Amino acid sequence: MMNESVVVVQGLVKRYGDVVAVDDISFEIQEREIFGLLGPNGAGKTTTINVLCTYTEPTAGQVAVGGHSVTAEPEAVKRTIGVVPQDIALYPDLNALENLRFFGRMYDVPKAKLEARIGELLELEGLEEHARRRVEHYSGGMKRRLNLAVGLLSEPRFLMLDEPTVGVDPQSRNAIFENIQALNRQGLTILYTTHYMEEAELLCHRVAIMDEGRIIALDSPQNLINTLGTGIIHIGVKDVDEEMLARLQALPRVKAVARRDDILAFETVDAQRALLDIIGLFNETDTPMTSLEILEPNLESVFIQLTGKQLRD
Amino acid sequence: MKKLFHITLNELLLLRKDKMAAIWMIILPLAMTTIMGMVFSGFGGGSEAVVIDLPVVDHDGGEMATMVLDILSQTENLQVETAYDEETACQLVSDGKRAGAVVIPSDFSAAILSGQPTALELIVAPGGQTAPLLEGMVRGVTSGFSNVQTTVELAISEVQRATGSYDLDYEGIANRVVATTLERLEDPLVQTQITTVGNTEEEEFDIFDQVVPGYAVMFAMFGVLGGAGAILEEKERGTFKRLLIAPLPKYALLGGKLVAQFLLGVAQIALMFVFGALLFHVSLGDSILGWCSSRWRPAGLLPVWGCCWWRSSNRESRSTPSPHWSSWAPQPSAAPGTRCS
Repeated sequence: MMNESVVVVQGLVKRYGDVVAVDDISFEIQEREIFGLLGPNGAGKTTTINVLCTYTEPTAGQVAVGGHSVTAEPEAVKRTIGVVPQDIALYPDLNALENLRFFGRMYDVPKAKLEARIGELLELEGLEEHARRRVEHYSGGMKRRLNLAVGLLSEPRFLMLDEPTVGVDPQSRNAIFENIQALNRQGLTILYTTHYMEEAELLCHRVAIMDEGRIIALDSPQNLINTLGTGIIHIGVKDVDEEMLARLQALPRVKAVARRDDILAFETVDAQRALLDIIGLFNETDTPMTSLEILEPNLESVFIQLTGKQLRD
Repeated sequence: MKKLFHITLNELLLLRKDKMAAIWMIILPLAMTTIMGMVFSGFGGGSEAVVIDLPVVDHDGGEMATMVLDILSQTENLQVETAYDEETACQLVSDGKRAGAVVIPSDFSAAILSGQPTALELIVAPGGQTAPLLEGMVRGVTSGFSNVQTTVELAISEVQRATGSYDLDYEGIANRVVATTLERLEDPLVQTQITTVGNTEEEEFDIFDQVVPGYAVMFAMFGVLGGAGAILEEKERGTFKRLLIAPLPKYALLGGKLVAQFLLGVAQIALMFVFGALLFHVSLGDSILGWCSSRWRPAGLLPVWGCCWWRSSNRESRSTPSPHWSSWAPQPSAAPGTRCS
């Protein structure tokens, strides 16, 4: 299924003055893939999208979309892509039809085709009945859906969605997910950024986890969970010496122990059995525990394991 | 070019949808015209010139007093009233109903003819705005008579010196001298000849010629401001980013906005002129085409200013401080020449 790379990013760096928003990242997105960029706010996801859609020039690195360089052939890139910005980018005083018509003309959709396309998109997003209502009177979810429709007007080959579910009710959220999956089945390549790990798990074929401008893991959600997200145990401690750490590390089912402040993070082969060994050792040495947690096997756990911090602070 | 047109259309559509903005865009020029009209022509003044009513009390009744009355009556902007006695005239002035009053003393004619000092009395209320104007006018009259009187004095003393006689008909001499002097004053021997050089086509000075280019420049600047405001609003809505990443040339985006603002400005000015012409009798000049051309020239600077703005704004600033108010740009497009004629 996956053959050709629609997006190739090599060594992308973007600096704003002294602030490094994106710090030397590389990845490729295959044709017909839903690729997720995951990370907390400020990780560099939107900056990456801004470079991909030619809105921002990269400080360094090579970025090509549909075989066109974003710096050398921005016009060609613009005709390949559809973008759904993080913030609603619509004219609130106009109705859905007027918004779609205007943006359609900006994207050179031929007049004859435009009306048909608008009809299709309104149907796809379930907005036919509200087509003549002013957008300012729409609910948050309806605005999001229309925002998505505008991104699809030009029938792009590659669609970028920047946190499309922020501030959306569960019903609209499901509708957006279904849309994305349906579009992908029709052959659309999609880049999806979010800070909701469960969305990425549900939608994406592959996920790049970003933190502080860098990609810290890139694989399919299942592989990430399998390699990092299972058997994670967090134990709160007051003070633990090096000897104790070494003994814990030496336990047969413990793959790795990392200490972050007052938490010991264990990566284990079999959490339940490993826990018995660990507790045994704590008892033996009479070391007090302050908390104990077995993390669910999911991307959230992967992120915590990789960065030591929660996604949604 | 097609996209520029669509951006212009969209801008106008947005304005049409924003009822408050649309109402303001109509009200503002009308309000400006009204204000400027009042400033230039006085409340409801129309095109009438200012006329000052001036009571004149004549205690003399002589030939010279009649002459004073004649001169004052012929003075532009003065309406001489002779029906009042001194007391009533004083009362009118102190009540503020008249700016001033003139009293001609009883020995006025005799004094003039005999070369004796005399005075025209001007009664004014303190602080009156037209008082200095009146004073100037009356001074003009008195200085004229002073000249006449000096001439009479000189003539008589010359005759006396030459003839050595004091029994001649001096009254007759004085009368003839006065008559001749006054005739000369009306048609002086030494006249002022005015020669105009340069373009004779524009010899008629028209304040409009000054006002229009001034307002045109102002208007052009409002157009740029409006365009800038419209783009700031796009930034706020997030639609600016969407347009920037759409395959459209930047000149279309900027040009479309500016053209829309320009059209709105022209429409506002036209509205203002129609309103001004109907209500304040604003003169639109002889040649509307000439007027238009003087207006379009500075407007041609729009793209230049716009490009400067574009260059400075397009440096990827992440902050979007946007005074929301300026965005729909009410465009107080000035009040071009609400001139009272």
